[in-house]
Amino acid sequence: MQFFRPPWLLRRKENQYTRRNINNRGCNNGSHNDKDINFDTTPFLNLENITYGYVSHKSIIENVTMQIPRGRFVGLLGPSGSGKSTLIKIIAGLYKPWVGSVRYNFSKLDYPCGEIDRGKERKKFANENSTEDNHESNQVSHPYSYHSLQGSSIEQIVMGYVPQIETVDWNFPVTVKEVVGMGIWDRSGISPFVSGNAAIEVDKVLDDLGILSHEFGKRQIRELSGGEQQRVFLARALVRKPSFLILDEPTSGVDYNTREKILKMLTSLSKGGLTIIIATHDLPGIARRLPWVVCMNKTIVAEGPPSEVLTNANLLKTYGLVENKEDGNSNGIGGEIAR
Amino acid sequence: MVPLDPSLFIQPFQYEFFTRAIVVSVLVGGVCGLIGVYIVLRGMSYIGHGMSHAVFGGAVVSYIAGLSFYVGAALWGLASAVLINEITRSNKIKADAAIGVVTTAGFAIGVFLISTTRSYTRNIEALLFGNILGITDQDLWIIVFVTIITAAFIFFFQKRLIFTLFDREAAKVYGVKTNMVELSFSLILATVVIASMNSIGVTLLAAAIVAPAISARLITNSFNKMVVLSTILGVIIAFLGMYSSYFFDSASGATIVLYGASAYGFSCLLAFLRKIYQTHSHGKLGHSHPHIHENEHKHEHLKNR
Repeated sequence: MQFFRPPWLLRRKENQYTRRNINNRGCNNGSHNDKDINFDTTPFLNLENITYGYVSHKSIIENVTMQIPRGRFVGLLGPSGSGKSTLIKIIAGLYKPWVGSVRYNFSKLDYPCGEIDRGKERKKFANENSTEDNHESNQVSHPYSYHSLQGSSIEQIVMGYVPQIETVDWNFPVTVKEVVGMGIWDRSGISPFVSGNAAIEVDKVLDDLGILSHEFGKRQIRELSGGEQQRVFLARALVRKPSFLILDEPTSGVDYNTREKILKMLTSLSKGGLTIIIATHDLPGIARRLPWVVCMNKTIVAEGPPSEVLTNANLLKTYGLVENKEDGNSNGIGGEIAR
Repeated sequence: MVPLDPSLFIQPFQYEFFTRAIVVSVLVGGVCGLIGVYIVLRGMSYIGHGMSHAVFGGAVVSYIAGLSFYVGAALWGLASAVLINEITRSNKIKADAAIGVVTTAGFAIGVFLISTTRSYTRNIEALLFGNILGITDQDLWIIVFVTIITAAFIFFFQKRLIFTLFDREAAKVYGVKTNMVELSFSLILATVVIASMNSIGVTLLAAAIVAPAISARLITNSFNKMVVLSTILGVIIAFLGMYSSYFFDSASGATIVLYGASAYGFSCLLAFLRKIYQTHSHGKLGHSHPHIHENEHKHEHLKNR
């Protein structure tokens, strides 16, 4: 299988020359598994002191501060209810945090959404805590266009988003090509149909992911296997030519082979220079094999390369797993998972 | 046996009011079939039901005040559209329950006013159940205008609509102004409901919106085919219903809805027969899905490549 290396990212990579260490909490010592990836370590995404919840006075995530450099492949790790998916949605701009800010290249995110803004809870929380107000933002026409402070030009950050497949209505009568075409709805003309250059782009990305065929493109999404569904949603994200890809539990409910295919595909994209954040609770299958993981349970427990982060102590804090031995490395449940 | 006179079939078209009613109902059927697809796929069939009931209150207020019922229905309908849209976005109470109360209250206001002023007339009956005699030139021009507006909206907003309906969160992330799309759609639905009141009636309109769409959904798995099929079915159902109502001397709305229900029954039968045709077994494992018969005993699976 030929893996996808996005050409728009390879072109950008040629212009990248800065590489410096960033401050990381916990056990980061600067050496990690992704040393073969020549990414720019200038913080691309800055999360500052993010606090958010769905009900007032009951925050799901608290004081999350994190920096992600361009080109990094990051796994958000934690149990159900730890706030992974919520953080993913905050990064995607779907929720506006009560406190704190999301910055891309040091610009604050202009939150495009209103009704899941939880404005009342946010204001209440912000007033009571008298913390930083996060209302100031650049008013731009597109939700992912930000003024870069590093230059006078506006850099458009194009985001690719792959939701949890459990949230999708699989009975919806759309075909594979129609789903992928949604990714470039704003670039495919006013006609209701995806045609011309847009159709070529759709075909190309399906081809790159190894799923292009006349018959496959016409299939209804319900007729696809779990792995094919994930690839179609990945194709919908990639057809936008994103500079940043976020995925919410892309391997939940898929078999071993499919998980391996998805992970290989994402690794290949990451090596092509794409910045990727993936939420997962799959410790042995996914998290251990990523170059960088962030353990979170309401707040960030630890971050760094998995070999250094996935220790019994951190897993205990993240999952509440009970160790059987005091050395924390051998017989405990956490120890088994960490191995 | 007395031979059937063919001129009997074209007899209704000798009357101007009937020709006008046929044109109006065909346009109403088409536009209801078109918009019904989005209502059904949004999983909110009760919105059409609620909206049609809600505008009745406004129409009655206008009628009692001596104004065209379109004035009150339009104001009431657009306000209801905004309200329904807001309720739908609320998470605390299920939207169908809240909409049921709010919109039926609009209907109840109309009934309350009629009962207190004792002004129940044939015009009000037409609003409730539809009446070909109640269709005027004004109705004709209004439905033509609404059809054009609706078709243009669907054409230009198709991609945003389908993306919002299918995957609202991703649509937001990819820059679709989903709130604006949903509100615009609710307003368009309100105008369709108002324009269709006279020919189908508010009590029966929901079925006219939903029946062609669910019939089409049973026949096809393609969104674009569903849109085309639902629109065509809406036109055919409305034509047959209005045409038959002349001979049956029945309420046009009720007749149209009965044809809609028949179309749904026919689609169910078709889907059932297709399932039987596609049923096959491998060993003892029986299942049903699309496949191609290559010859008598071989077929190629379309599901698993």
